[in-house]
Amino acid sequence: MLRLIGAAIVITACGVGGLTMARSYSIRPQNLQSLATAVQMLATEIHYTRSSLPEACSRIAAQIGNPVAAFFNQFAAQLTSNSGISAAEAFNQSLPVLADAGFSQQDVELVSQIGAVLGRSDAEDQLKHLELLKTRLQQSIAKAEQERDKMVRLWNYLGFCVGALVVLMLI
Amino acid sequence: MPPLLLRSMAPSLRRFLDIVHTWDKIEEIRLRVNQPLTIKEQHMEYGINRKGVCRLMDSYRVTAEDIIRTMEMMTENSWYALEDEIRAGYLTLAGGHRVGISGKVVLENGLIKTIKYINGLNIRLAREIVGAADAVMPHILRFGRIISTLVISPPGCGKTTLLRDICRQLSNQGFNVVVIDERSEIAACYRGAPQLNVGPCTYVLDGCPKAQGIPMAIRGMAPQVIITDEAGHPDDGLALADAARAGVSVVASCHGSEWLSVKQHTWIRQGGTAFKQAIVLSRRNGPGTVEQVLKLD
Repeated sequence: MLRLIGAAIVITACGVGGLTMARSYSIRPQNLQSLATAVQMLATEIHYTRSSLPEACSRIAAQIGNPVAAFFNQFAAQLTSNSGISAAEAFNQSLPVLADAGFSQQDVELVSQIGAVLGRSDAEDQLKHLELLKTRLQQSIAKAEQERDKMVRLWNYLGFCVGALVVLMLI
Repeated sequence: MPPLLLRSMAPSLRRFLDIVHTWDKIEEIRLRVNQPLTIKEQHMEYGINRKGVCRLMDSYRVTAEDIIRTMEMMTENSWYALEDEIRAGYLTLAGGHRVGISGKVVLENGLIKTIKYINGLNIRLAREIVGAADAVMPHILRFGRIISTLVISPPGCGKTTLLRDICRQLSNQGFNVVVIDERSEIAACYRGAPQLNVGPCTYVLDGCPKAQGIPMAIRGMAPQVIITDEAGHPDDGLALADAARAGVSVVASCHGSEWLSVKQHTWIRQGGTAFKQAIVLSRRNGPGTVEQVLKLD
């Protein structure tokens, strides 16, 4: 009886592990897509309304889903904190929000590059930087989608299979 | 220090400026790369270091980083949002304070594209002097009619302060006033809202070029008087003359020290007929000293 319960626990644990991996693959393109949308919105705010960064970022946060909204909210809050912080510092201090929400190290690095230039030049230059970031995000999205198609199904089953294998070896 | 202004300074400068307590007397704060942090009051300039107010030569030396960071604070980390102002060489801060910018000018097709390597900032504190126009109001408002007036003065003699108070007083008396505030100095709008008192019956066209703003105001706002600062372009003269022809009084200012030299300017030749009188200011007894009131015919 105990063995049976033990086996069930092992299989469930491995299965859940596999499902979690699968989920991380399926959520990454969504997150990147949401980030690309936010970048496009920021470009529009800069191009048409010339809103200041804190204003634009709060507005974007209100229109977009988490975790990207949390990131923009945090960034806007840092900028308006009156502590004399620069945009680059505020941006870097907000990046952990993305990392905690499941963005890969590589994605966070991609986004972090824009932090150094954000708000520091005229609109034309800002738009060029945002356009470049958007292109790179699109490339990442395409790759992430390919990975998702391959890996989600694999991890959905792999966890349970590994669990079963472990049980067989232990019996 | 006024909290709004303090917020616009680099943290490294805030600790020095926080020491100063005579804010009602200060006219300018000057930052220049590698030069002493300078505070200018009416008749003197002094510096600040860690111990407090001091002679200029002992003052804290402003670094390039201080200026870059101050610029970031002043633009709210959004250079692009103020690129037109930067191109024109100045910013307006919340509270109406004006900041002049110097640095390396970048040209494109012969026109200024932007300013980079900013090496100096001159912060002019906005000062509202209610009653600054008391002495000239009897000349401007006669028998219930506004006499079109040109205020002539060298920089720093209180021309904008005088215009603002004329605007406030006329507006308080119920005249429909339109201010064409091309350089955001009269009403000192910050995000569209006047930061200084320009009266209850005043419309402000903020940041609007005079030559375009004056016809817009005449068509849309039914003004009794149009007030504008620092006329100088020939188109300004034409637009002001148009306003006068349309039966709208105008009160404008220009740089100069006497009518005889000012009247040689092209813009005056184009639009001088708009004005019925000229008021000449100087700093002889402090900013805003009225030297002369001239009738022009």
